[in-house]
Amino acid sequence: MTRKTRTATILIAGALAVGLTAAPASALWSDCPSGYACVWTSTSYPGSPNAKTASLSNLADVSNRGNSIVNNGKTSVARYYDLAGCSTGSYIVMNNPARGGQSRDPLLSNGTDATTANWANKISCVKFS
Amino acid sequence: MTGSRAWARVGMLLALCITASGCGGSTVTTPLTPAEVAERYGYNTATSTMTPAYALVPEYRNPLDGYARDLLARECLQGVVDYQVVRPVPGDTELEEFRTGQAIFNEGVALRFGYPIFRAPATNGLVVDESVTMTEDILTAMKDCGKAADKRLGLIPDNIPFLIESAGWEAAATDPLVMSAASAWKACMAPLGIADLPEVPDLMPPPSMFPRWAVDEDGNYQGYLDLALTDKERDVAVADARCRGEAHYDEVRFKARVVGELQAIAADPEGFEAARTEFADYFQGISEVISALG
Repeated sequence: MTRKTRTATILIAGALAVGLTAAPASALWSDCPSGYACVWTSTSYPGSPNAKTASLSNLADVSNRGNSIVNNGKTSVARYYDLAGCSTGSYIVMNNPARGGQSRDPLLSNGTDATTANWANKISCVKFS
Repeated sequence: MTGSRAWARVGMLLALCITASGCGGSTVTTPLTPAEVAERYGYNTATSTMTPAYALVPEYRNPLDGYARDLLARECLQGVVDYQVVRPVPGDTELEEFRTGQAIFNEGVALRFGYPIFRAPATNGLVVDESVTMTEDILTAMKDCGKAADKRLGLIPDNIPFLIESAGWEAAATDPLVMSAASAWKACMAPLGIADLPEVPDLMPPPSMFPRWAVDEDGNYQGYLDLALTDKERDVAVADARCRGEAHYDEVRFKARVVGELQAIAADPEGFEAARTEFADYFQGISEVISALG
């Protein structure tokens, strides 16, 4: 199977499986305090975040368990890293809300607005930059 | 991924399938070899200091995108909050690569900063002053401005370069030479007697080096602590940097990433070329904003 066909198949299967549901109306991503970047282990930001930081956080118990994220910060961007330490390796970016683009994601299993790569259960560190 | 964007992507892929190949497994692209990719784009694997995703897509993760968006935000938020904009200055800083955002860690950095994760950076990217209380009104205005920015600029077409970069990182994570270099680094570090020394240097410093008070109520380790640099931390950091150098860890990993990225491009050269065009189109809008407001 070619890469494109495989990507399309995976995406379509994923769409059918999860229904590509938007965040439910009760989702409270605003439970992430202003000025913070947050991580939830469940999708769609249910309740208080499982990790939050106003600067940098090396995740412990929730490392590799993040499924929804929000940037409510005062800096340009929040970076969510695959590797602990927030210094190297692959990372995804959430803008602060005023920048546009993406500032939160309810369902990392189908990627972010910037990528189709699965980022569920992958984040180990969060920092503002 | 948010729902509406995901649907749009699925729709686009379905349309591609229908018009191009019927989704039946037939190819819509002509694979190349990694060497052919390098030759096509003049990418020199021996001398390039950036991996192909960055070198061949100059707009990918280019800080000017964020700068243009910050300029629009500042204009939009006038009268609501003082939104501070800093023009990005090309060139690596002492601690971070300009384009890639990857941290720089060497003996010079270790000697001066120890592990930078323990110290707040001099420039921390703040756009709203720390003294400002972020009210719901400010946050709502910021979101509205973000929507206006998207309407003007569109969304950044990151997907293909991101997947290529990811392929490079994945290739490096399983590359035998990288694993061998990591083992050499670990052997070099062994005399320091760090109980929770990680398998790869990327994960330094380990949890045992964080002060207990840095663990927050959720059990996570907070960084950027403004800790005083101790002789002990400096000694470990300098040894770490020296061991990475002796093991050629960064160098070997970079090469593995390059190979992985070239392979990913080679598997779908048309897709890559389309992404380059899409990025160039997107950046016309970025340049217009910077010309007008920068």
